Amino acid sequence: MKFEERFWLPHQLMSHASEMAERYGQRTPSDVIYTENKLRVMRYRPQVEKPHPIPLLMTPPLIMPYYIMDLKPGKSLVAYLVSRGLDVFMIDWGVPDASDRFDTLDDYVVRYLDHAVEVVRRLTGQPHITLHGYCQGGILAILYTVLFPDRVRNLVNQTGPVNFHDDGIFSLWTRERWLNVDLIVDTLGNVPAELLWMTFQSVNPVGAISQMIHFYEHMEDDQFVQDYVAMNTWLNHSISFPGEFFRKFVQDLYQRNLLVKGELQVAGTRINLNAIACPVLTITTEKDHVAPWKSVALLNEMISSQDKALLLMKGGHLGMTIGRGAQDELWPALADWVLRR
Amino acid sequence: MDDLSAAASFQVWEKQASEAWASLIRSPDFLQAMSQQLESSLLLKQQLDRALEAALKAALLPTSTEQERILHLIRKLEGQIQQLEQRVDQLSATLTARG
Repeated sequence: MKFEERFWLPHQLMSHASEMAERYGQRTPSDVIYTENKLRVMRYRPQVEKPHPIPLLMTPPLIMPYYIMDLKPGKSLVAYLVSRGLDVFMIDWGVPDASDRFDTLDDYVVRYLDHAVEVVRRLTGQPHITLHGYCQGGILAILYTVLFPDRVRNLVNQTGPVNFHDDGIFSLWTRERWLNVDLIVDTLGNVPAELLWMTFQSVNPVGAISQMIHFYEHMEDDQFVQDYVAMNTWLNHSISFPGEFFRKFVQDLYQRNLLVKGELQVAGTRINLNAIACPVLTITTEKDHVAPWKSVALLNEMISSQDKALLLMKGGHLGMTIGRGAQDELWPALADWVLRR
Repeated sequence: MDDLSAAASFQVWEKQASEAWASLIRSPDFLQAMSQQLESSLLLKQQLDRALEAALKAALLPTSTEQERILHLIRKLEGQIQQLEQRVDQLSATLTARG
């Protein structure tokens, strides 16, 4: 990469993240096995002759790209899980357009996620799957497990909170007093990616400045630049939030905290977390500013599963998946837990 | 200022600025200002959208919301047909297997 190209990288990454993801992204080989509207379900090509019989379906958040779990060679949770003999499937929710503003939280759980699970079950001939959810995807995975318990053999919830009234910054910012959700959705439809990006950036702008200075200090180092590009492509690649999904997600979860109260309704059914009886692995981190660890760990206290484990890691919300400790701690622990079941 | 002291000064600035910012974004004054600014911009856009929609309706043209709603319904129907096709294929495969 030429000096000029390197010099402008931080700016390029901020303004053209999705194009940069196309240009520099190196993903683990996979095949698209299902599409519906913007949804894609991918199956990673197995590396062993006989993969583990229970398929693993990974559910990312809607508002960030799926590839945080498959960032680049050497920093890919997916590649590691495939190398350990798991049959890994991934949901890519895609980028919603204006017409998707009418898709609700219920649509994403009982339509898109259910169809993804169905296609995985049909393709593998297995009656049930291991469902992994990351962040917002963790919440969807929890709701799905309550609604369709016979289809989920194991649940892995990675940083998906069940309590939304905590000391996290998003808990404060989304309070009814400060955020008029109806006005946002009625006026904008989908919540624009740019607004989400600005919101996330506003949490720690000093960190962004420090990171940029760090970049210019190390811009001669090829490995550093590659890692920087991979991570910042993802960080700057926000995706619009489907309007009606946002309305229910913020009003029922963040503002009214209905999930933890056992009063959340999805597709006409009340979500009772105690109905979860399958093996559950909950993964969280001590310094998570998006989903404080106690709000995530609470899941294990509210379910009736006998086989449940909590993995409390060091570091923050993003570092846990691709940071230095992830490869040594999270990835093997996750693979071991799934392979034993 | 040598490199070491420059780095140390930056670290002090970084720590203090982070703490000040973290405190600012939790303060009621900041939240009130952000909330009001967002709400004012949205209300302005809402007024402009309403005026435009009224003009389109007067000209007997569909509004963007109406078009989006129709497209959403078409896509939902497309998904349902896709699901039905898969179920028919499954049933037909089961029946074929049974002879």
